Amino acid sequence: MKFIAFVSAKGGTGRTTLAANLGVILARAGHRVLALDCDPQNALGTHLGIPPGLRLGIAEGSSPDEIIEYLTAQRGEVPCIPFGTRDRDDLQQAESTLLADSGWLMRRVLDVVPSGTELVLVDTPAGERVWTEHVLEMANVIVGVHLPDAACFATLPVMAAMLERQCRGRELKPAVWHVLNQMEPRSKLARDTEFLMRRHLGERLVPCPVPRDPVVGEAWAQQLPVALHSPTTGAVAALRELSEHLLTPLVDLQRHTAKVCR
Amino acid sequence: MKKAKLLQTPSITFAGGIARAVRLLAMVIAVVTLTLVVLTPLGLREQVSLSGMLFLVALVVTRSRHRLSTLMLMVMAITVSARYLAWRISATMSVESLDLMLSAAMLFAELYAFLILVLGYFQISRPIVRKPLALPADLRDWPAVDVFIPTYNESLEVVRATILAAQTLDWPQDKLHIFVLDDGNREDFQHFANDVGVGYFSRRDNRGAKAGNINAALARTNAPFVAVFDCDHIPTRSFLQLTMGWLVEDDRLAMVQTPHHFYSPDPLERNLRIFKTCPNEGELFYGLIQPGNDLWNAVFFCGSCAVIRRAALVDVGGIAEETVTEDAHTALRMHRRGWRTAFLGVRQAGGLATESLSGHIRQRVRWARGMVQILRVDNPLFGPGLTWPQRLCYLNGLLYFLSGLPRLIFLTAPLGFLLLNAHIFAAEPVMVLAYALPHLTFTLMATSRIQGSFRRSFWGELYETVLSAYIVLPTILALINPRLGRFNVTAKGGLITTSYFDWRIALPFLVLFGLNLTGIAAGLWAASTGRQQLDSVLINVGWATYNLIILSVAIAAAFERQQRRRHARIVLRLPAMVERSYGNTVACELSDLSLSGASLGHAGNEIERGEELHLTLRLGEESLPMPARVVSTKAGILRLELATLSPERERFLVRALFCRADNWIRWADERRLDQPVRSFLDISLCGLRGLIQLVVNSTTSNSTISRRYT
Repeated sequence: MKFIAFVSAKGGTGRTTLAANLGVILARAGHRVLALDCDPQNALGTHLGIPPGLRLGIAEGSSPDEIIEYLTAQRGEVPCIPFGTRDRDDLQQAESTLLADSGWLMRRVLDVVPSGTELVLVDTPAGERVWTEHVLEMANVIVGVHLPDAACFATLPVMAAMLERQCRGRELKPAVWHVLNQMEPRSKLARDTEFLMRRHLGERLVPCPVPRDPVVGEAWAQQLPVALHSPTTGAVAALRELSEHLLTPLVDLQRHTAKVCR
Repeated sequence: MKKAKLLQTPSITFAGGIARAVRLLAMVIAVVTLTLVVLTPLGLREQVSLSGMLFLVALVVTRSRHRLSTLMLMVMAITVSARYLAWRISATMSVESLDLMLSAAMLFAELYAFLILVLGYFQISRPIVRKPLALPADLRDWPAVDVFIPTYNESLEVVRATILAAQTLDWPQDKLHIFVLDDGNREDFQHFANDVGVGYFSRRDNRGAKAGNINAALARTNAPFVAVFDCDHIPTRSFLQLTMGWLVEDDRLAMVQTPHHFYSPDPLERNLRIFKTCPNEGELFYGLIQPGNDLWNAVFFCGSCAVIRRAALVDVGGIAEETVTEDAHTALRMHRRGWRTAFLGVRQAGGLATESLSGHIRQRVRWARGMVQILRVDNPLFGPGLTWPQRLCYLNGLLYFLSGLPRLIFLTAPLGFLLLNAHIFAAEPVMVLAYALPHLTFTLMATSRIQGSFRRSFWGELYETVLSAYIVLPTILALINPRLGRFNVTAKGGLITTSYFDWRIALPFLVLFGLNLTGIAAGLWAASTGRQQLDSVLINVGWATYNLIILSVAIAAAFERQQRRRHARIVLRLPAMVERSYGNTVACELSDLSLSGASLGHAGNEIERGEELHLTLRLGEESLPMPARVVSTKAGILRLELATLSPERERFLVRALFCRADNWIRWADERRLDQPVRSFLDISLCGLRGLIQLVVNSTTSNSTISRRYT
């Protein structure tokens, strides 16, 4: 089982949308995928057919049995464990539990994830938060999601420091990738930002930026994954390529790039 | 030491003297035996059994793909052909005056062909497959390079891609200087050069044509290396990195030449519809002859797609201006001064082929005249500084262009008998067959084996036939007076708006065709009335029929097929994306691309004709959208016409189209080896199609033809 965590230094980069849509594409490619929302915004479920306002979730307050039962009842391509609707006090309580017990989230997840699951796509809150830290500790693959704008470029050092801290001292280092989301090739600023980010991140920035496309939003509004709503779009093609890229083991990848590079 | 590295021959260290003695002895024995085999006259039965035996041996030998068996086939072919010639001189020369004249002419042609055969076999006896050599790890050790793009009257449309591509060469930017050498003195060139940031040189006079142009630029620049690209040869980004390694390593190496590759079909390829399926005229030269020359340190400079060491150029007084093939002449001078040259058989530039048959012929007439000029003013057989193999390689290169007269003799020889009743061979027809057939068969077998995938059997004769009538006079004139004539520029990048038959260029082929046809008719009539021996007639009719086949293909080549696209389309399978005006994206697969348009396969069908959109191509990690308009959406194929592009976008497009290092590497990968029988059928079909076309054309479209004449 592999944990793929989606993180971003600032909000609104399309982290959740990306996680949900990648989940569907990976599931359609034959992987057994589970979506896990560790973001108190509790938005991942809205992409995957979970009704809003559901209290059940990974956060403290639902029993493992309830969650397992809920998972087996789901009919979607990607079963999803939502964060759960919580009020302010609940959230504070949950965070202090996490702070006191560093193994809590891991135990909790292992308790509820069905056996046979290959990939767990985990959404996290933006910025440096307690939840993010705990998710990153479990992650095998970390995907940083960025927009091609000045603000995102400015937060790169923050993100780098956060990841650096997470990876320090870990025996098995997670694979770290960065994705440029909502790319607008026609905008000079976006292209220049991509160029600069590539200079900073090198080949950690995956070669296929996901283009901005209104159908992504339209699909969400119609409660459909974009891969089903408009399968022939450039955005879906980019997501597909991205999904393959994220799963390529590092060794193969190096061999691959050495072969195809120019 | 370098040669040893190239050839990977284990060095013989033990008992060098004895080994040499043994080798010498073996050579003496071989030469004596072969001389005996060549000179011994045999009766019919003995000659037939000897040939049959040798043929069986050849069949066994040819099963092995080893180089040694190729050499054996070469020796056998030379022996059998020499035997034929010995018999031909000693036993078939007639004494009657008309017969003797024709017979001597034929013998001259045969001796010429034999000489070219032997020289050719020698030249390519061991082609070198040279690999690129790595450059020093430290970038500071990479030398500076000046890139010259000489131009005279070509349109900026053709030249701009070359200039933009030169700018993207992978080389330290402070050590790369690009210069447009404009002998046309044109303002738009100067503006363009200034806009994109490359150097621009022009001259008051155009003395010395292209050679003078380059020499003038040499005087105004100073990098230790000079890369030369004809203005329509677009380099790939890796050109310098692949070629410079050898030049940095070996400071007596004067030049590295790479192949001239053409991504558009030449007139023969287009008019005969053999583009990409059959190797073109140049492939033998760059696939085999230049690698062969490399063994003997006799690689010629070909005027473009090469890097030259400035010191070597200075040493020989710059590019040679005395002849119209300044390139080969310059290399010859460098070899005389002890410089080495090398050939790297990796296609690292792509160019446009000439657009019409007449242009194609004009270009080769210039080569022929220039090479014959060299024969006169700087004969490689004489003069200082050359090794014997070098002299022979140059000799073959120069003599090749004298093939016009011999070829015309072969094309008319059977007429001597069929029309004039002259006996070229004063011998029994069956003896002629017994000697000539083995000679032809062995030559065909060995040549087909050597040329492999670089030339199909019989196509070489076609290429010579197309040129023959046109190079006879210029080459003879150049032999008499090498100073006649001027440098002419080959026009490229043109359009042929309507298909037409070029009567003027086909006239000699039509006349020769008519003569051979008349000869066949006359011969058959004479045989049927009993005035001629049937066997003699049949031999000559067979020969004339072969001539008809080759000539009909030459005629077919004069049907100029429409060439309406402004820019050649290049097949390029790449993922691409289309962005529609309101931001929706469509995933596509590029199927071909040119500087003005693209074709894409796509699954979505909502895109309409006339729609304005953006095509985004990704090149490595960069992507750039190009504004475009939808021209057609038929059959799931989206055809786009690109809008006028900004310099940034144009450069990006040029890079995508021409500059990838592997752009042209796989071009000829699926080529099979030559199969003489199949090749004969192919060429016959080509000729037949040409004849049918000729009949249809002359009965239906007189109007187009007359328009071409006005």
